[in-house]
Parts: sequence; C-alpha cells; structure tokens
Amino acid sequence: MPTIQQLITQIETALGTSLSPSMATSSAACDLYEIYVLSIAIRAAREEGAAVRFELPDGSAAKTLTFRRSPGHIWSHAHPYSHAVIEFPSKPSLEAHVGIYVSGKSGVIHEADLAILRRDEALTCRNSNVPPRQSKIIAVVECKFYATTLGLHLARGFMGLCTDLTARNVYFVTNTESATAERLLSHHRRNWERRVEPRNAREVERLRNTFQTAFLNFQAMN
Amino acid sequence: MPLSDTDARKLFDDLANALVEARLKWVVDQTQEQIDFGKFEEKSVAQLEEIARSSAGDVPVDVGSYEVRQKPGKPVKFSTTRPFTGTESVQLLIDAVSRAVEGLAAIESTIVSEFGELGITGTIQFIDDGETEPAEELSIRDDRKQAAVDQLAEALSAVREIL
Repeated sequence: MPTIQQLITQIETALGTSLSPSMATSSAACDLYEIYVLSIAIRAAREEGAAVRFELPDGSAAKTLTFRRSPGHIWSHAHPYSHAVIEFPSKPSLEAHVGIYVSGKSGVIHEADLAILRRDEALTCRNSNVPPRQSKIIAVVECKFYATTLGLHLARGFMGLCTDLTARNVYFVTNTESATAERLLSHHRRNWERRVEPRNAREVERLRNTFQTAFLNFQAMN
Repeated sequence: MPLSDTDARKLFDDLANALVEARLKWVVDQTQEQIDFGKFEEKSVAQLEEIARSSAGDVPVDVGSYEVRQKPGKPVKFSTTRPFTGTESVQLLIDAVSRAVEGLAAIESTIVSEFGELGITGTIQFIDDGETEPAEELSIRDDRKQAAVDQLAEALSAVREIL
C-alpha cells in the first residue's frame, strides 16, 4: 500500500498533465459548465424532433464556436459569438444563447447564463440593439459550477431572478449539491437540478427530461 | 487504522499545497470557505424560558446571571453548524478536486462529442468583448491527458481509503 507521501506525489504528477485551461480558474470552469448545460438542452430539443445548428450573428453557419466569458448583449458584434438555432417542424424557430442580458418584468436587465428564446425576438433584438423580453423566453437557466457545496446566497440570488422572470421557465442547475439551497428552492417550488455532470447519468437524464417538457409545452402552445 | 485528526490536518495542508502549485488555488479557496462556514446539521434542543425571580422555587438552569428553567414539552430542532474534523476536511478537498478535474474533463469530452454531431469540427473558444485573443480554447482531449485524469482518480480513491 502506498504511503501518504507517495500518494501526494502521484497526485502532483497527475495534476501536472491532466489540467486544461478550463480548470485553471473558477470562472473558466463556470464558462465551460454553461456550454455543457447548453449541450444538454440541445440534446433535449433533438430528442423532441428538432433540427439544431449553430449560427453566427450574421446568420452564417458556425464551424468554430465562440462564446462569451462574461455576460454581454445579444447584439454585440465584438466577436462572432455563436448561438444555436432550434427548429421544430411547423413551429416558430428558437435560439439558444449563452451569457446574454435579458429584460425582466420590471424592465430591469438580468444576466442569463443560458437563454432559449423565440428567434423572431432574437432577430428583433439584434436589429434594434435591445435585450430580449422575458415574455419571449422559453427558458432561462442559472448554471453554477462549484468544486464544493453551494453557498445559500446563490439560491437566494436565484429566487430574486425568479420574481422578475416567469418563474416556471427559470431553472437552477449545478454540478454540486447543497442541503440548504435545495431546501430553500424546494420550499418555494422553484425548478432546480443538482449533481448535473456526465458522471451522474440519472441527474443528467432528469434535466434533459425537464428541458424536453419545456420544448413539448412550447410546441403545444405555438 | 484511521488517521488521527493531527495527521489528517497535515494531509489537508500537503494536498492543498499540491493543488495551489498546480494552479488549482480556486479549488482550495472554495473548500476553505466551506470549512470556515462549518458543517450544517440539525440539533434537538430543550427550550428554556425565563422565570420571574419571585418564582425561583423551581430548580433553575445555570445560564449566567439569568434565571431560567426548561420549558415543558418536546425538544425543538435548530439548524446549526459545527467545525469540520480534519478527516472531513480532507474528504471535502478530495471531493472538490474530483469535481474540478475529473468532472470538468468529462464535461469537456461530452461537449466536444455532442457538438461534433452538429458539424462543429473546429475549436470552441471563450472570449470577452474587450479581448483580442481567446482566453480558453477547447479541443479534443488527448489520451495522455485522459490517462493522467484516470491516474488522479486512482490516487484520490487511495487517499479516501486511508481516511
């Protein structure tokens, strides 16, 4: 059996080779996690029969994807930020964006880690330099990647977001867990999912099903 | 034999230093934040009530200069925190490394695979409005990196067994 010092050495050696840039800072890890949750939403849309493709702001097809590191406006042309176009047969098209500002019921502008909205609203917003309105948004997802248990303040912040958006379309998704945050969100009947990462198939499937239900409802109402 | 609290705290420090050296200070910081907050738990507590000095014929509970007695009825539940033990602290740090390295490696692979199905063959990059160069780029993880992640998982698992 190896000694503790041997194990520490083994860990040091492994860390030296295994790390990628997305692991170097907390914010880089969060950026990656938002894209991961987007991939689950896209998978859910495809399971429900949608055709999905990535696009650049000018409407051309994206082969290389560019995402924001911090929230920005949907109309930004600073870089060719990519978004997904989701098309269900005979239904209005949708767009999925990572890290954009959206406008709440009060008119206050909020950050949305992931926003899925009607494409006509997205086109209007890009054309007129205004943030999307909450009434045109199918889903907003607050994504939290943490190495440890979540702080309660994150759930409290999410509760505030829910009051200014349509709460049934707002989701709190994390890779980790927190007894207190989960209790708070459950008590107030908010949408949340924990331990969402590829190593936890059951939780990933449950989130995908949640997104599938959101897409099903969208199709039924449009 | 399980580690003593002193040995566990030394192991925590050694592991934390290795992580800081490997540019994973944020993982140590988040873990330390959780340790500083303490371990959440529920505690059953007997309620006390203040009694008038004139009725101090009952046996008072000694809580300093107040005169109180135990309130009749069942104990009530309070939410509270207690300090993490050395072993629990190491466990938290191991779980944190696992989420940060093994978890993110699995996430990277999944993203590349899922988006590959949509025809994304180039890189996936992250950049801010004010930047000229991408801060991070994501491409297919090579086998050498995956082998290192597996080796890390094995070492973390061995540390768990020692605790």
